[in-house]
Amino acid sequence: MKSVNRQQFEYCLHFDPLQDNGSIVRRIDRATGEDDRVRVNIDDHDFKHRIQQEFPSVIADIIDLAVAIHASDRLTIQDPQQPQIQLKVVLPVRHPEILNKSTLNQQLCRLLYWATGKQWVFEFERRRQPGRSIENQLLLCSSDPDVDEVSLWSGGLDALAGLYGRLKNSPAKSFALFGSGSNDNTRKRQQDVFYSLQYLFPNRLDLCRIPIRFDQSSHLEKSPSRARGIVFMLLGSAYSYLRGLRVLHVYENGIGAINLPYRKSAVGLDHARSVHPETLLGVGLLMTELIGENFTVHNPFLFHTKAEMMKSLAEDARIDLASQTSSCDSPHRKSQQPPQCGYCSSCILRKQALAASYLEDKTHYIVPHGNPPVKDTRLYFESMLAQVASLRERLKPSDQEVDQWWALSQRFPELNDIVDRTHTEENITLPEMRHQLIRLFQAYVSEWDLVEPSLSEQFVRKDGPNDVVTHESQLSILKGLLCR
Amino acid sequence: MPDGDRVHSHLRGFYKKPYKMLCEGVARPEECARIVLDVLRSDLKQIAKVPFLLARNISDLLSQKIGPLEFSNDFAAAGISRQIDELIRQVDGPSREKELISRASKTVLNDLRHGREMDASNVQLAIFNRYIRDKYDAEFKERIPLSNDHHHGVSHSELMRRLEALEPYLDLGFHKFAQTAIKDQNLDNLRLPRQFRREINLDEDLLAC
Repeated sequence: MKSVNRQQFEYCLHFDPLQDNGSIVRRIDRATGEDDRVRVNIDDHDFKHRIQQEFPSVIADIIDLAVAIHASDRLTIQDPQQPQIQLKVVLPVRHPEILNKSTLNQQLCRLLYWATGKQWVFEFERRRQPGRSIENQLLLCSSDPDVDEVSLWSGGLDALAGLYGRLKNSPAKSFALFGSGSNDNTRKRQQDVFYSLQYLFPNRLDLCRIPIRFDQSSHLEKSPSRARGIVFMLLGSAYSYLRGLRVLHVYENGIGAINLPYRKSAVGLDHARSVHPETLLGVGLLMTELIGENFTVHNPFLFHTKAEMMKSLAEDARIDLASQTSSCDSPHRKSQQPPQCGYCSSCILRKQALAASYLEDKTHYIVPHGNPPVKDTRLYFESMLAQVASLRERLKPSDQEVDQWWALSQRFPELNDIVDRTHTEENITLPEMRHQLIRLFQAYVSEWDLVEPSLSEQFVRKDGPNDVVTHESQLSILKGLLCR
Repeated sequence: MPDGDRVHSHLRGFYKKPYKMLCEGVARPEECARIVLDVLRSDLKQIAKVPFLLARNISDLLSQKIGPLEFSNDFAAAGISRQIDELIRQVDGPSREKELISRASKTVLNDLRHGREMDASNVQLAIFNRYIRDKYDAEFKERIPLSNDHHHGVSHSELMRRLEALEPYLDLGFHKFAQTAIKDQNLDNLRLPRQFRREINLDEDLLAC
């Protein structure tokens, strides 16, 4: 059988040392013969907030690595119908002796293969140039207050709900938030929600943003970057380290984090693994290897549905805060239209969670508030209902949890891997973790039972058959499948 | 969901014929099944070489463990799952097919782990058979749009009923494909089960699929 031939790389990406004015990436596409150059920039001056007197050089390498992964992923295209592309990344670093260690290098390539479906190879050269200005600033003493927790800050509803709950339930804790803020709209939203929270919880919050930008976007792959989660987590982990912590927190509901396929036509990376438990584990292990100390990336909401995450917001009726956030996967930019589409899976889960939390959804969406596009806007809604029907059928009440788990993991075998590989990190036994996941999916199905009729109304078509294919009709397929 | 999902809502070119045939509801279930299997056979011949070889390698891995290893040992099963991932990762091939064979292998491992009945002497057949089933589900059955806006005005529930009627014939077909591939050690001569090969009698009542 043909193994990956490490000599035949479709893409080679050579990075110049990352300086204050960015880095030139030379991209060579072996298939087309194209050889072009793109500039990528990072603004890391927010990393001045740290406890170390000298900027740790290994952290500077982690920042460079994150930028290189981001740029390489955006500059190369993977067609899922074709053999996976192979790309070689050449990056100058301060510690090639650490980054070229075979265990670390293999860990990095495996993690990126898992998240992007591409075969990555790294070659780390010794960096000869002096570091960026942030590395040359010596701190006499840190003026930044200690923080108890560093978490990723996307400006989304999960990040808000998770943080709000933790601020409320741990009144003595302070939090430092990390966002990339590469997109101007996202950056503004992150800031607005942060200010609203800062007003409610004074002196307990801090915000750091490290945007990565390209000088020109014409070379960039249009579809969403599957490496984005890893890039974001590497930079967040670097920030956590600079703030003296060895844990990075990610607030993401379990349904979104695990992100099971809706139907069997969704295969592999059709659903992103950005905040999947195995991705968090992988980034934690990578950080541990890089810094030589135990480091973890933890999602405290893995066993919570989105609606459950919103419990504290719902108790305080903070719909005003929720309305400031955005969940949409493909925000619209037309001035006459609401920015959030209302029909992608992220918008639908947002609507589902708000409805299940009995919070009035004040968000304006294209569906149902704007002019819907010509294409069928029910696609994601129907697919999500298909998944709910599938979960419901497999989670039928049983005296034996082991039977429920078998039925669930037979349809979604990735669940076994999640439990086997991450239960230690979650500090629970295998049966406990299976139990928690069964409960999570049961809760999710129950929430849908509650809100499906009202959400269905938003997806009624005016120009054809009006009925959405409900879970009852989808059960007919499933019953047949389960009989076999 | 985070970073967007891809949802497939259209059947690929050669799967449109059996879809239309099903919607029109003229042909009998075995005839519809034959057309589906014909299309699937062409698809497999084009794209399933890597999954077929992987099924063999993974079956070798599992078979080695069946004797000495207790599959209900969670730690051991987790280790095998990692080995499966590594075998698949090291092979060059279409990502989608690699994912499908991974799923098929892991459901077989799940069966072994839960002590479900399985012919342990032919793990390769079990894996490749499940791959073919998953391929059918991924490319046809679960790609059929979920709307009620189907060809020939057929309702979704009626279409699903017709699809279910194909299942016994499809099961036979998937098994035969897997069996032939393993016997020949290639995908060149995938054959339909004997009962599908006879000519259609034009005098037969073809109504009611």
